[in-house]
Amino acid sequence: MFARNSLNLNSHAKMSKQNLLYCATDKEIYDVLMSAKQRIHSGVLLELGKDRKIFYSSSDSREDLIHQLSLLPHGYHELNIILEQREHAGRAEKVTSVTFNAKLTVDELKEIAKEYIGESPDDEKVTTFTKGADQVFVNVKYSDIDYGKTRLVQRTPKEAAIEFHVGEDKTVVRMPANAKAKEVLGKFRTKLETKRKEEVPFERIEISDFNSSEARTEFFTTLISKLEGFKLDNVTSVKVEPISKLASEDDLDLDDDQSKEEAKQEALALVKNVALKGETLLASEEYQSLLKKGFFITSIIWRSKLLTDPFPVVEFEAAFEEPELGKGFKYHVRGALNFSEGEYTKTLRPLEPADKEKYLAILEKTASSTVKTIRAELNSSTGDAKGGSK
Amino acid sequence: MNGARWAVAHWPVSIRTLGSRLKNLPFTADSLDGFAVERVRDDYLDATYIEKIATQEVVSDPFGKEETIERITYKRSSFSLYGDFPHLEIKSTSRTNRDLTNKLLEVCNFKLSLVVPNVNPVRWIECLGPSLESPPLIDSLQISSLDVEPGVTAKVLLKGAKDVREALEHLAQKKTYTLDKIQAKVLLDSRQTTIQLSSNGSAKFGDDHVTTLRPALRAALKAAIG
Repeated sequence: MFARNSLNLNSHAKMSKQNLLYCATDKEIYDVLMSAKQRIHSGVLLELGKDRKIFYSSSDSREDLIHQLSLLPHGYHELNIILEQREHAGRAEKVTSVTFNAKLTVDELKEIAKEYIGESPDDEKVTTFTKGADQVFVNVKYSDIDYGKTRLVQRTPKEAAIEFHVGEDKTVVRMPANAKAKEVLGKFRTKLETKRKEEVPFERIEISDFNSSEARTEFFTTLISKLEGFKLDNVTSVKVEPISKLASEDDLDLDDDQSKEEAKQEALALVKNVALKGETLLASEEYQSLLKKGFFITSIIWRSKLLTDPFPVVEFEAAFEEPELGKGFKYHVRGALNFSEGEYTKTLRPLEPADKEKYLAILEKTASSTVKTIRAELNSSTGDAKGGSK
Repeated sequence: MNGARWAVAHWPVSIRTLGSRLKNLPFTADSLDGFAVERVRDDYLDATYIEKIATQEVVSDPFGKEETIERITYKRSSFSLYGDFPHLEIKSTSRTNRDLTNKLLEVCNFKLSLVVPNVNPVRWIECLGPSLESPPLIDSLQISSLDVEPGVTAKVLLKGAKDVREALEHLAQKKTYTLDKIQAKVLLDSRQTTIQLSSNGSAKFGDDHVTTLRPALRAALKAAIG
């Protein structure tokens, strides 16, 4: 126990050494204020002045206001106000899931989480807790550093919440679709395998083996139309890509120089992807014509109506991180239009966390079963074709 | 008020096949939605899409006691599918028929395109002329994007006891505009009735002449666009 405490003290001492004191210069404050044109407009700048009992003229240009504000002394509190102003308001990250096809226990996961906390790097703050008898949550607070930005905003504090939903024979891990969460899960898996002294099989929702544009599009159309307990209401955004990229891997390299030259010429007018926004998009002439040309869906935003009271219209989003490879399925529940006083609200309202979790689970389940059904159909058709050719 | 709207559709399969697919999705006592197919021919079919909507209303009495009342309503959307233009006829005045179009999309394995026609309503009513007992009287007309002066446009509703087309010419003075809607008085079976026609291929008319007007309007739309 003593040894452990001294270790913590050591790590604290180490941390304080690494957390360098930082003082923002007027140039950096000027850069931060100038870079966020939409969020920090003249009105916000005048308010920042008013907070300090300085009344600037509303006819002053934005540049002049920023110049004058940046020369004022800024303490921790003032800097925080500026940083809060320029932060993006709640653009929720898409989530992804991995299923461990092994019988795991909550205690086992808790133990690994504790181990991970002990070994976590200094710039990470990891916490863990359980919810009910079958859920383990691991929260990782970390810093995302972008050296391309001005120094004051290079470090963005972020949070990756990794949820382990323990089932009887499998555990579904839901996490933000970003590199950090993947890295943390990778470490978790290694620890789990080391502890168990065996490989833990896992599966992701992937359609990399669907080589036809029809099969890839079918994944999305089935997902939106077969969502359990929901009825498709509207497709408001869809992104499509041409099939040519899929076929190129299987092409035989028999092209002569002339045809290569032709291919280069064609590439000058190549469409890499098309994004459509509107209402009932899948019935639009434009989408259908792209489909006939071999394009397939890579990303979709749609609304589905819950078939039970209070009948909210829930907006979902689903996409692949690597569309051409059909890998990295990520999804999101964006909000809902609620039914009140005889009509639906005009704008999306945030969902209750319990409802959101429920809808995400339905989406995961439908996506997973859709992949299995289409894969089985494809396998049986290739089997038939092989059988036929014999 | 009764009505209908028409659309251009490209069916991926024959009308007969669509008919059998719709029959495979019947509305039953246990289902939340489904189709009732009335007739299927080689070149057209008539059907109704029925949705069951069960809502719960909480009523509290003056003593603070709450009671939940379940209310069940059925939404019916009658429609016809044709092999030729206009391919889809929705027999309702409802602003949105998204539930029906989504279901038709599913039935067509998401290989269906629907296009709203763009028709001149005056031309449409003129084409309806042969089915009427006397020439129609356009007593109301709505235009938009009328160029008043550079950068200024107007949306205008003309109303009158006589044909308003002359007044429109006087108002527009050869300036460009978009004709959105017209309202006309027509004589059918020796009785006067009112018809409203829109440039997006939708029509509203009285309940008395539904069976004669709807097919006549469809034929007139075909003649106006063709």
